[in-house]
Amino acid sequence: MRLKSFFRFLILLTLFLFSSHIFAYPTYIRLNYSSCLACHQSAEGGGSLSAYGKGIAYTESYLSREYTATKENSFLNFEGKMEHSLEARVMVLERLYDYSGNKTRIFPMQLDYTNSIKWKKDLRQEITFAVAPNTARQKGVDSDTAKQSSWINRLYLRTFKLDYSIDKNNHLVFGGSNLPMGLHLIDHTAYVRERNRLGVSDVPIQVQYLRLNKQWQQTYLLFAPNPSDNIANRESGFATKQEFFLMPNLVLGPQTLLAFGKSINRGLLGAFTKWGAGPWAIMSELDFTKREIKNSKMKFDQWSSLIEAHYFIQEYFRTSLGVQFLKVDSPFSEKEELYTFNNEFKFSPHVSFIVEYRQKSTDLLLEKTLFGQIFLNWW
Amino acid sequence: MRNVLITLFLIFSPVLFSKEILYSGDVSFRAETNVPGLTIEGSSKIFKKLSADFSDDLLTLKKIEVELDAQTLKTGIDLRDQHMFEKVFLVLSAKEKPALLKMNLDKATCEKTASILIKCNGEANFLFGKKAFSKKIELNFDKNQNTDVSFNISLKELAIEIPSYLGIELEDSVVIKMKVFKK
Repeated sequence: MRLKSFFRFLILLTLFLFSSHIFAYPTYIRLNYSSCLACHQSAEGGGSLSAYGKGIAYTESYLSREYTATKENSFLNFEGKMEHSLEARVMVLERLYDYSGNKTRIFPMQLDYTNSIKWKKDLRQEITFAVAPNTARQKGVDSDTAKQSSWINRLYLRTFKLDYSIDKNNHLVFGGSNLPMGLHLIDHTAYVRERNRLGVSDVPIQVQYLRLNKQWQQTYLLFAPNPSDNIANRESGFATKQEFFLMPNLVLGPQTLLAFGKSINRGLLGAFTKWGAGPWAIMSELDFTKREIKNSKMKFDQWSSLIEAHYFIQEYFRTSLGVQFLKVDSPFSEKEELYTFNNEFKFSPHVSFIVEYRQKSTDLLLEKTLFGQIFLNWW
Repeated sequence: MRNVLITLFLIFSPVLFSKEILYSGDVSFRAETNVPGLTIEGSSKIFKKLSADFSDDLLTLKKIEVELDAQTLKTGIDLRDQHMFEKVFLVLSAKEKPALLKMNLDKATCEKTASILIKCNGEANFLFGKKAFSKKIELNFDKNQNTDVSFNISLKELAIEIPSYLGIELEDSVVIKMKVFKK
């Protein structure tokens, strides 16, 4: 038992010492970077960082320094053709309301390994293996009572895609990953993500076509079910996402989606904004979803929204306030409000800490929760 | 006593009959890069000098003077600002500190229009460190005598080596914008 604990400690220590970039979406907005290609190798964002993205990760931390693409990135990289990254997240959760289960929990939230291979100058492959808690993949399962199976059984293929750059303005992507809809939020429980099937394990097979230039970015995609999806959840459809760079510091992104499932059809119409100026980054999203239960032909609406204002006291220290709303019509009536106060400290290019206070209210409940998260990354 | 009054009058007469207006405001730059959607931007609100000298009837713009210390330009990333100052501006000013960016406009033709106070066209002389160049600019002073100015400069014209970092390279043309407000 002691040996097991020691190994756990050793793994965490290794991650702590060798981990690298942290989630930087508000920084990207603050700096008015309107294209994911600024910092990521994929035009649709996420996954492996570009050399410039690594440079930004290095400069935006308390222990900042200039990054040079040297041998520190040479582990099995076959002269720059292959890259690896490992991302881990440990969460401490304290429930501040009357709750019969564990009031305080510490658990590994995320462990992702990403492998990126540049087959040719214009052809890149990316694969991400992830370990997620059972509760993250099974809706309605109580996180305190769910028995966590072995990590091997919780390992799944989160991303597998081929990215072909027709030229610097046109990209084709084929594979399985989250649909590239809305804001790129790390919080998979955000209403605009979770309630629009953008959870950690929602990885349909898709073909994406991305066009981008100095004024806008457009994404058109077709998607089909992932063979590993539960049969009842399988859906196919198409979606569009536009991002117009209205002013140097303002992006407006309308989006549409139509999905046809085994039991439910849904249509989504939404828009998001990103505004960055000086130390501020403000983002918002509003989505309207209409669902139809196929058997009964019953239709119902859902509204989900989010607004977050981030203020960078220092480049490495960010504080933010957020508000989220959810409204679902009958027969699944729900009305929820969520208020968040979040602080992020980027200690080093390798490690960052987030402390977040959340207050969620429904018609029946008022839940107050305190989160602490440690992000560890290595590449 | 009369001599004292005459002396004081002579000392202050240029001030009494001058319409030099002091401004505050901000200057910003925006440069596209080789990656669509990735622009590098910076700004400063700290001017060493920012003034406009008008004739009494506000119809002639005699002179505009703008002076900015390059070190006050901020892009939102401290290390990048340090780089920009040391590897671009200090080089331009031949290692002289501070690296001053100066703009002078001493000849402009102005006219009153229906919608704005005056519209002036002239050729501005710029001095970035030891590199000088001229640029035609248009200034529209609104009824509060505030103005916005926007123009492009070429890095090559200024003999600036195109800055690049980890695969990101600036394009040659940089947009300069100034928003100024009467103090």
